[in-house]
Amino acid sequence: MEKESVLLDRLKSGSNRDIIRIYDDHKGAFVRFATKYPIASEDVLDIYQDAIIVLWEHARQGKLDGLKSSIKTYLFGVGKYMMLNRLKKTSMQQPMVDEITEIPDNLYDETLRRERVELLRKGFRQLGNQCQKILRMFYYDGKKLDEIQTELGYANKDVLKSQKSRCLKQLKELTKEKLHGA
Amino acid sequence: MEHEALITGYFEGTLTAEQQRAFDRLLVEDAGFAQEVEFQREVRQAITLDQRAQLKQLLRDHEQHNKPTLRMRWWIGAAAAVLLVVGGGTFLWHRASSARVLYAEYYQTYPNTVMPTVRGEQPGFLEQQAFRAYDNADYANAEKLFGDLYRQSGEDYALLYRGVSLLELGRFTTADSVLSGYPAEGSLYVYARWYRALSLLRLGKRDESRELLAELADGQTPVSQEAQQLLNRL
Repeated sequence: MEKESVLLDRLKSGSNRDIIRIYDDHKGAFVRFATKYPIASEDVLDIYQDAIIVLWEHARQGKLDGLKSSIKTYLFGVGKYMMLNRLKKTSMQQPMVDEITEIPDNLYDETLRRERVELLRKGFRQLGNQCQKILRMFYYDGKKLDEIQTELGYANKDVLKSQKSRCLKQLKELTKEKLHGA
Repeated sequence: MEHEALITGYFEGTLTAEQQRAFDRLLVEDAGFAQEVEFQREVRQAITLDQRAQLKQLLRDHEQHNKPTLRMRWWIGAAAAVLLVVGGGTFLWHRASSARVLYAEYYQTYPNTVMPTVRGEQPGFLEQQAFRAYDNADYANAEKLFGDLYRQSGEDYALLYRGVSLLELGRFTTADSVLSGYPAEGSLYVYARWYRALSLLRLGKRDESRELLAELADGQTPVSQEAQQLLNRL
């Protein structure tokens, strides 16, 4: 087994090959661990994949930097939480009469928001490579503009800033077209 | 502080206590500001969902790839038999055409990240001409001007932009040789490698292209993800 620090670096690097390697390393043990819970075997792998994604995101966001336990323990902790959550949802699927009174006031807003986010996601896929890269690095990887400037080789920050603004504007227009077209 | 800078600071997590107060106040008092912040939060959410979906697909594909079912094994056997019967000629033709398709799918003009329209900057005359030609998609002139610029100034980026201009002109062999000259210590090195991998692919040199892509996929660069995707499809 690799040293924890090496494993953490691998996770942070985020190359597909590294993620798959970590996935394979712990899969067998996770499947055995999951037999404690009454979850269908096809769901176990689905949950394990989600747990790997959470682990990877947390590593990149620096949340595992001061971790006291091992990465495997953390991963299994995330997986366990997800399994319990799934069990809870399954048991709550029985419709309850009282539920109708508990619909939150902002449900309508929430549905609209979800629709907008979905449109933004589609719009994001339509952007050029460079725009996707800049926006992904800023909003998803949580990188600062200075870091992006260095990594992408921009001559200065103003150039990057105006490029990012153009990308956002383009995304806004793509979404607007669809909202009106819908 | 400008509104845009406040929003950037908010997403970067770099606002000072005072800036945070200004941010919170604007959020309540300025509807336009609040709307922009909300839009960018939704963008963040959309990109996060998109990335998760991609990762999930990667893991699912990996899982399926590892466990071919009996039915799939039969299909693989049948496909291999069909290929043998149809013959190597068609196979080679298919390989060549698929390289072209992949090239077309992955190739995108490298953006001008060096000399965009920034007020107050005074670049050299030749540099300005070269980028203007490049931005106007006049690649024949851009290729010549970046060549001149490299000879005069020795700027590394001129090699990359000349290489990409050559790719745009369909001069793959020359592009390959120009891009191979980009120094490893240059700040745009990974991009020079990426475009070289694409030119090799287009030239039918799959093994060499694959080697470069594997190297790029292994690192932590902005092109690693694309390199890995392309590698998986080669």
